[in-house]
Amino acid sequence: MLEILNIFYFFAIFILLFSFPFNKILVDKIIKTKNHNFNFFDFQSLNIIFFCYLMLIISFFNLNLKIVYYFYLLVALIYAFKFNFKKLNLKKIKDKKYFFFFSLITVSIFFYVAHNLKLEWDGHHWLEKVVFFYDENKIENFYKLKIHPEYPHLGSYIWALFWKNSFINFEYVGRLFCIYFYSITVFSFANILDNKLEKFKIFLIIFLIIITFEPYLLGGYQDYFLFSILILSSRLIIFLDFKKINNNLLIIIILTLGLMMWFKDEGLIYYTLFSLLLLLNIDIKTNLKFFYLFLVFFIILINFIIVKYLLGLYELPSGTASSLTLEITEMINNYKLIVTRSLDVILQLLIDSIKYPAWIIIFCSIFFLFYKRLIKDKIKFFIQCLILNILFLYTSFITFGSGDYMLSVAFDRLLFQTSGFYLNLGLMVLNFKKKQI
Amino acid sequence: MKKENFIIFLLLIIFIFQFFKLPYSAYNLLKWDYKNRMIQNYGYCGRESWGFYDYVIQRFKLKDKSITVINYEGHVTLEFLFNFENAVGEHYQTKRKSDYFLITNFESSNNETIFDKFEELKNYKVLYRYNNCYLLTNA
Repeated sequence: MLEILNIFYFFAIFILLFSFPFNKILVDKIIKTKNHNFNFFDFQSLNIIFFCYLMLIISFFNLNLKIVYYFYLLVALIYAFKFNFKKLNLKKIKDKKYFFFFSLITVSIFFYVAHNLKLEWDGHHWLEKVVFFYDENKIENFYKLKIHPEYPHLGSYIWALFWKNSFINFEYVGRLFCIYFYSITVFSFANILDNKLEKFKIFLIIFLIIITFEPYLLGGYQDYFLFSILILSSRLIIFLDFKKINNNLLIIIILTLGLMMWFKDEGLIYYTLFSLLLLLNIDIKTNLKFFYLFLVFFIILINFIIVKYLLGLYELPSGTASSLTLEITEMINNYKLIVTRSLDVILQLLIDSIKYPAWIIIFCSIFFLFYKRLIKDKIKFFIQCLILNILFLYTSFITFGSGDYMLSVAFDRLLFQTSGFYLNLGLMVLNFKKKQI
Repeated sequence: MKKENFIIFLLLIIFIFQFFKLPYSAYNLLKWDYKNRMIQNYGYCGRESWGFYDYVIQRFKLKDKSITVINYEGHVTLEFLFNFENAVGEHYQTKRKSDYFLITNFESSNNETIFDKFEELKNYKVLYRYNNCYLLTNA
């Protein structure tokens, strides 16, 4: 019974923690318009990004996890009382309906994980980092970890934070945050749907959850973090007007994308690709463009400096390590190998597209958009990202030493991570069809 | 709320209940405590053998001991889950010299013993065995 109460307690705690600091008033000011359809789920998603950045900074200061948690909780409580809980934006009936389904789905997944609490293979590797923070070791000793100390630590830090502050002190409680993040960003993402399709929205949300729910990845993997960040970024990018840029919103998008590199290595690649392509596609003055280019690389530089000089660790992401030159030379001399491996990667792409049907929807949507000659503006941007994304996966897996093995165990996860970013293409097809009707 | 909407609403709730197996998970949380669920998920002496770890750690107070854990079937080892102070999984051990060896899912044929497969552990003795899970010590 205590565990069930703990689940409901954490659900309530997450709502409270992530109702701070972004709310309608602040977002109106930042976006400089009241003409937006941001709601409870968007504010909570943005607040999670804020929370993650704050936790990232705090993680370098060796602070007591209980103090960090209760201090943040206190601030969130004060904030909630100040706004008298009214600014949670649940006043409208339809929002209450969504909130009901959001609660039901999120709590259901909480229960699912509490019951199926097994950590899968990589989950045990991440767990070493979690235990490191749980035991409140000093960040200076992070390099001493046995398994991949160079991997990003933010997911493990947040996992340890909630584990440490649960009543029941069970490991899986730390993983509930990841579920909440995933759930809230999917609900936020559904706001892209045209208002005229409002009555189908709840079906769309449930459909999105069905095609993106992967229990195996809730077993300690960090891929859901990247998925959630990307699905939120895609929601924000859709709101961004490429011809009349809102600078604050653009900075928020870049920062949101930048968070990925603190959860997983490949996040750095996605961040660089997507941010640069975004800057290439928007209409802004050249000097401002240079400013944003500087910002993008400055964020990478900060990551590099912290990881190399503070943590004393730096290794290029797997598959691009020192053996890369050797691998490439070997491949150039053996074109048959290139053909064989290319076929392997394409076959795996097809298999994993079936495993994660989100990709079937993405490919069908692209086909439809091509057919209707709608490849322009944002759609063009997302397709450029997709092409570079697939090229990145292709080059990574074609150069892996143990290609076949890595293809079978890692390719699907990498595909899953980014699927959220392109799912909006499906929604654009729906919105387009509605406009036609 | 219209009657049709109410029915759709209800059907969606039932669908979510069924998709995530909410009643089943809730029932299991009420019926089985954490320890039992861990054994259901990881096995007692099979798969990752969480139950065996849990038992020997408590009985022989191994938390702070130097220990090497080996899963003979190749499943992931659970040293981080139990937060040993001084344990290492076999993959990361270059030279075995721990005071204790926790070997799970050992496979043998005919009269083969664990020391036939692990010849370097001949100086160790079996402190505790449950089916094909062993705790060896050099003490």
